[in-house]
Amino acid sequence: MPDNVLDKIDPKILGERLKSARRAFGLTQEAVADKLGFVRTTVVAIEKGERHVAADELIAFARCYGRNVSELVKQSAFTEALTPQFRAALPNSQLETPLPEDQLFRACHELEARAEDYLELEQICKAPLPQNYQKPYPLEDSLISPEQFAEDVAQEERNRLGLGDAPISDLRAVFEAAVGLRVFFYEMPPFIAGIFGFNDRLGGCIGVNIKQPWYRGNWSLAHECGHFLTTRFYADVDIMQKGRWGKHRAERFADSFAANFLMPRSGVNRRLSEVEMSRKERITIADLVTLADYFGVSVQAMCLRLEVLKRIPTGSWDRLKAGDFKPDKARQVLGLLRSDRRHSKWPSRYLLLAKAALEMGELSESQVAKKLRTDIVSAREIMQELDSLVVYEEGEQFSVIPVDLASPVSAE
Amino acid sequence: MASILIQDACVLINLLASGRFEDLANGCGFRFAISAGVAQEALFLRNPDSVGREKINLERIVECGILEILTLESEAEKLRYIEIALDLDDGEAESVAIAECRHFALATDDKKARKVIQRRGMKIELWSTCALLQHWQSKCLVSDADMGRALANISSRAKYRPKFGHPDFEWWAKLLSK
Repeated sequence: MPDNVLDKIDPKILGERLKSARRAFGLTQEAVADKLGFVRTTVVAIEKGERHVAADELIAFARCYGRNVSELVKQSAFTEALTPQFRAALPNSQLETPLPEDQLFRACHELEARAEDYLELEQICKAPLPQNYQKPYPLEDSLISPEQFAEDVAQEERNRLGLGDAPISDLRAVFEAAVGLRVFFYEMPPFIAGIFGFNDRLGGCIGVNIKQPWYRGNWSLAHECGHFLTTRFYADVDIMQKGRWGKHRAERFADSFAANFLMPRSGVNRRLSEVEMSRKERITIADLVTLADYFGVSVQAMCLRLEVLKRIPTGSWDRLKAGDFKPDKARQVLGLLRSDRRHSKWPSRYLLLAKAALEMGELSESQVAKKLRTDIVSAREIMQELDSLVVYEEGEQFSVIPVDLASPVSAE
Repeated sequence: MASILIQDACVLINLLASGRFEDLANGCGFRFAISAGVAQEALFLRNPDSVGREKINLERIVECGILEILTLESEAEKLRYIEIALDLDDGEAESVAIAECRHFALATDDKKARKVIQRRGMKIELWSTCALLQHWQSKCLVSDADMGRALANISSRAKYRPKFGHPDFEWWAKLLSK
């Protein structure tokens, strides 16, 4: 008789995982006991790690919570999840109309799940994410306004990252490669712009709603990075609803950081002066749209920034809106509406690690598909795109020159 | 040779994409089966007529008796499944556990699944997509042209092809060009 595998799994770790899965699914211990035909004390004892779980029971728990058994029994240590942080960050108490908490919570849980998957890929490939984290800037201790503090921090971060005051062509790459944040774009409910969470194990994790236009996604990303730089031990859920946070210092800082980091005062002023000098005319709406595109922000964000910088009169954006100005129509006319401009769902490093793990036989195709939140055939397509960049034909001979993006350049 | 061949999700997708699943099931000398976990996975193929994907419907081939769906039965099977789930996904772990406990053959192309089977010293008769197709071709005298069409279907609908350096890479490429 072979050894019982369940005796080898730490009941405390398994119990914690079962508890976390139950909570994520929104069930009480009593409801689970009723559903599975157990007594409540059995569920309590299993979750506390005081009683070993039987094979049938484990399979029943997994099905009840919509989880895989493989997820529940994996051998990594259970660590405190980001999820409770998110629960505290959910802003319903500050809103006039409460938002559907289950949808908010699912979006937060998804960020954590993706970050966990990323970490697992790094562990498989023995390639930890290089983290270039500054100590949090002391926003709470600062005596100046959050807006002024944000301008100083944005400038310091730009200097630290060697960005000068030029537009950032790929903001995500900067935050991923130069800072070491985990950035994911995925579908969230329409009222969420972005999410931020942090713990020592996963590092800084940012989720951005992929349904937003490209430039709005940049703003959300920079906004969440603002939270990482200051109040990183508090999770954030950025809700697209007017007046949501009142004058909360952290939110004012994050918004102002986004504006200053994406549109640095000196860079915007210089570019604007170049435009003005070349034509000796005042700024036109076309200039505004072009400038927004140049800095990768929305026309509204650029217009409000120019108002703050006193380059255009206060209230200009309100007047444009009142005149039924349509930014997308303007972009189209100026040839700036590009359908290929969208954020990819996955960090390219994530895809390369998944491919390397597949090639090494450390992950199966099904496991890779689950990590990419897709089906097996779609996962194959994504993996193939990474390695068959060149098809070589010589006469009637068909051959593929594999260009494996996950392999080292100096491979022999 | 075992009488029942249990397929993992990846091989099942490939064989269904070939357009010859029924012929393969009748001509390979095995009864085809999958685990309930594999049946529950989201299984799709690329649609040849559009850019979209189509959900695989197993109902018809199960009703016709071409494919059998197996569930974990004994305590030993369930324990083995949980043990293998430490390394593999649920559908794969079920397939391996059932194949081992019931002495069935297992069809998988997966490097990781094969690695786990080898590392655990499991005695399972292993098949791959290419091995099954080659077996079917020689047993049923399938023409190279027909085989080439089946491989083209697998390439386009399941996005599977042996990689450069795979032992069957040349065989696949040669038949594909027929």
